[in-house]
Amino acid sequence: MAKTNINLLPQDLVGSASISKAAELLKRVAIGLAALFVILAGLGLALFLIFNSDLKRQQASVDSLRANIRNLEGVEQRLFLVKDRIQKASGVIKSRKIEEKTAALARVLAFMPSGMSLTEAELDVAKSKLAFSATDSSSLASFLAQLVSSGIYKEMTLKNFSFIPTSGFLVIIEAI
Amino acid sequence: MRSSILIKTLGIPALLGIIVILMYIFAGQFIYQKVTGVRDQQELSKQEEQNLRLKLAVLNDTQNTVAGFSEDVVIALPQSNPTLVAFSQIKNIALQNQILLSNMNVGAEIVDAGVSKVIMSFDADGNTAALIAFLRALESIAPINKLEKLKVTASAEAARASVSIGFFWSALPKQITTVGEGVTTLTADEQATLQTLAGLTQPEFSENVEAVPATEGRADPFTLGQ
Repeated sequence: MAKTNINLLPQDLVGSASISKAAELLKRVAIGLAALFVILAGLGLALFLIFNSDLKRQQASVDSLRANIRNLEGVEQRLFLVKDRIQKASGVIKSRKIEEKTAALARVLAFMPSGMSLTEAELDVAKSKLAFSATDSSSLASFLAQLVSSGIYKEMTLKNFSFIPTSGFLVIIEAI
Repeated sequence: MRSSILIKTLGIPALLGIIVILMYIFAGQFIYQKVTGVRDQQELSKQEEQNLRLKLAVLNDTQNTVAGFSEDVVIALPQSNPTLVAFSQIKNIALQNQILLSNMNVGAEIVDAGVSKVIMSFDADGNTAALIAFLRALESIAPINKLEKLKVTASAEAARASVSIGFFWSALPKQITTVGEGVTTLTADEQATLQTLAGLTQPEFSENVEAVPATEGRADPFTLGQ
């Protein structure tokens, strides 16, 4: 015998089947989303706790490193002082020009032949003005040849070349 | 009547849906902000930890090397006018090279880019070779100096150099870096300069500087030793 549904409610009080289905679906979706939210929130909380615990560990390590650095404060001060002095002193060292010209003059004097002597040297930042005297022309010629070939100076200008019978030759050179 | 049934049937599930959406919007945002916030803090902390480790390594490395040169560099570039020390040094190398000094003059202080200098001028007499040796020795004495002007006149018997030489000094640093700030070790150029400064002929007397425990804020870390 076939089963029949008996509904004693009046027709206007009975909701349609599609609305009931929609309501049921909405309820299930809401419950599903709520369950997903709980899972996601739990995951978020777990991540928060893990990250927070890592952060605390890192901060403890940072504090310990800071304490170690404070213990080496004296070293840091000395390093800072050394760097400060080096930076300022290197500026002075790099600006030394007359020292370079004095070294060049020393190299020139090292190969000066016996018949020659330095009579005057005026050294400034830009150039060297050198005066030499020679008793004979052969020593003067060999000296000038060596001076040119030595490459000590990039540029040389002969400013004066004179001969005085009593003292010999006088040569004035401006060198850069 | 029909609309009240619709509200009764759909009302509770719809309300539930709205609550879930609001949970996603507000609670979800709150949790996301908390997690990303702690993650950002963790990144910053990690960076700081790395910087501090690097700084500690540099300090440990320099403890037995660079820091040991602090006295040499202060002698090379003192904190106050070094005229007396400079005069003593010039006199010593003049004696070593058999040079006679005369007409010693000391100029006024000149300040340029945080470094002060005083120009000393004098005449030096001796034979040409000794005079050149004397002049070359000047650059290897402490305090650090620079020839400003030089004129040599020579005859067969003797030579005279009229010298103007600047001696330098600079006030000590007033503040060092904060604990968290990084430090770097010396570059190759700085190492070379340090070797030059350490190799300068030291004076017989000088001022000593020693590091003292830093005050709060790590200011004024240096003091003049007794």
